[in-house]
Amino acid sequence: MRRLTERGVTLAELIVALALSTVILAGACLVMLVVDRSYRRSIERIGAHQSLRAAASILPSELRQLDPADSDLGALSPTSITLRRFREFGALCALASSNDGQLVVTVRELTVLFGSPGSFAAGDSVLVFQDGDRSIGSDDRWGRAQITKTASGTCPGDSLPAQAPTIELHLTTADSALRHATLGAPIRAFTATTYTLYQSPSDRRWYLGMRADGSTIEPLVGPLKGADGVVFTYSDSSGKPTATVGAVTAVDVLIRGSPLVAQDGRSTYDSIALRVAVRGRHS
Amino acid sequence: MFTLLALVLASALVAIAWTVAFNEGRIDETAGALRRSFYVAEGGAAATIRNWPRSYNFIAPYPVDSVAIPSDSPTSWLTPPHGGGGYRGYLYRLNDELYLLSTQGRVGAPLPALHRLGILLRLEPPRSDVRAALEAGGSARIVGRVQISGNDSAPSAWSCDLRDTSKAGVAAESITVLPTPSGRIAGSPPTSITPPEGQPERLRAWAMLRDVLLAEPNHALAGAGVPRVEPVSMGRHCAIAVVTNWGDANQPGAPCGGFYPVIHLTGDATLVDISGQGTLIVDGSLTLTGATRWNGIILAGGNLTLRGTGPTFHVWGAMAAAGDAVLEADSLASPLEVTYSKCAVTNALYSASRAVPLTSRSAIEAF
Repeated sequence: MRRLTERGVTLAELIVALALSTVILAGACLVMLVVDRSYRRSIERIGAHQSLRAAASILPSELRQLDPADSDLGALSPTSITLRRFREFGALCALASSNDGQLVVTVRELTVLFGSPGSFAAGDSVLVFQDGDRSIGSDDRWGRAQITKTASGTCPGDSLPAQAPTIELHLTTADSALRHATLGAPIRAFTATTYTLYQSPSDRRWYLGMRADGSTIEPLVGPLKGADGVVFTYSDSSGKPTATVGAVTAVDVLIRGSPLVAQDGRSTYDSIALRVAVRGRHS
Repeated sequence: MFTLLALVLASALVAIAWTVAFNEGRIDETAGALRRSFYVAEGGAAATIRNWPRSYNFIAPYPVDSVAIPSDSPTSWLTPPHGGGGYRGYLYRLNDELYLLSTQGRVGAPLPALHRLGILLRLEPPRSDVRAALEAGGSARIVGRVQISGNDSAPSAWSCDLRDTSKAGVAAESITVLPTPSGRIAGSPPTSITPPEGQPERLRAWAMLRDVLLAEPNHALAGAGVPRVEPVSMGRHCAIAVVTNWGDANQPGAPCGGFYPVIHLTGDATLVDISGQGTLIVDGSLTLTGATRWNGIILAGGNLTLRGTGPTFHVWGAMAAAGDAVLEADSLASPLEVTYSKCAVTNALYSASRAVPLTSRSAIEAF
């Protein structure tokens, strides 16, 4: 028969052990809670930073290409800006008129040279470069047209394998001079786009949104601080604020992120300030 | 026990703070590098435009040709003038006067931030002040079947959309025309007498243009004993370095149809059966005879003599001589023709042009 030689624990020892375990577990839970809260705040802060950085990379690229003196900017306000958003680029390699009076051009799509896929599409607005007197640049201009139809197209005499795809565009235009555009002339497609501060009806928070030519608004950056989450300021060549669209040479953008509540209850917010010199016009 | 807990808590918070700060720093660094890479690309484009070599004026249109920047080592990176990274790119010609310059800026290593930028450029030819199809600093004597026109016309076989106001047919200090039934001088006015006090200004204007063009001539030869000239191409590329290649004046669509060299002949020159295009600059006197076709500009530092002896003789563009000009054609020969052409003059001047960004919407950014 086996003899019990090992000693058990007393009730008092058990109670003390349980109490100690409880204290240790409570402490561990507390650590976990604090760490988790801190982690969440960090993630929130990183998210806010990322959002602001997105604005810092998108808006300057859009703004730099504009020529405000030739209608690339539309309505301006402290909380919104309407502009032509350029998104496709090519060069004419053939030009003709169709039976219905439309202008039919074949275009070599050059956006691929930038490593970006892209395609002209029916409904796009386009600007076609027009060289007046080839010996001077002061009379150069861009004529506007609308794409009504696209088809596959080939540039005449293209015996070499084309490094850029080609496409045929049917254009309507009120600009009769476009019929005399020179071969090789650049063509750029754009969409009228508004960047504006708005309050989302779903979560009641403020965002910088993008609305492209009649479509619904989509959030681009946010949530933001509030009704003062975005401020656009426009300057002329002398650096003074201007409300004249054609005189704008620089755009300042101030974006304030959503408030972040610290442990002590104080709220702070991150912001980003951009100054973009518009480069679309050279004198 | 509580000290231990406090230590664990503090360590965890420090670790989180460090991780967050480190990551934030890295992301900020990347975002900053991306922003700077745009400026590096832009600086590289500006440097390329500023240092534009004339050889870029002769590249064939895309997709036949393109030029890598740097051309000697397309995979290496150039340092922009203000440092801060590296850039490289490609230059594409879109037509006679338009180019697309694509540069890529790089900042940071080993995983660099890259930004690509496009700039639309146009050639800006040097200023010229053409007042007549034929201008002479001294006298002009026109004899026989000579047809001179100051009315702007495109060279035959060219499609040309340039139109200019009419110039004088002949401008000189004194003009003698021995009329024949088939001889003709047209222009606005057909003949223009330059007063003696106006001659220095005219000679200065031509000398200035001459100096600009001669800053970087394509070919320089002795005027005496110029060998036979003809277009030379390799496949679809024009061999622009061959000194006897003076462009293809008769076939604008041929590989050398877009080559308008600046040709400098020292001393006096007599050229027989010459066909070419661009700018022909002779330090001394120049005589042209035989079957002649020239599209562009001809400048003679001395006298200018054109002799139509039978075959076709046609100069499209503008001619000027610091001395006297003599144009004579046999009565039974084809007419000797000199026709002002703004297209021919402009294309000739493209060879000595620099590139500038388009006045409007020259910048292209794609994602």
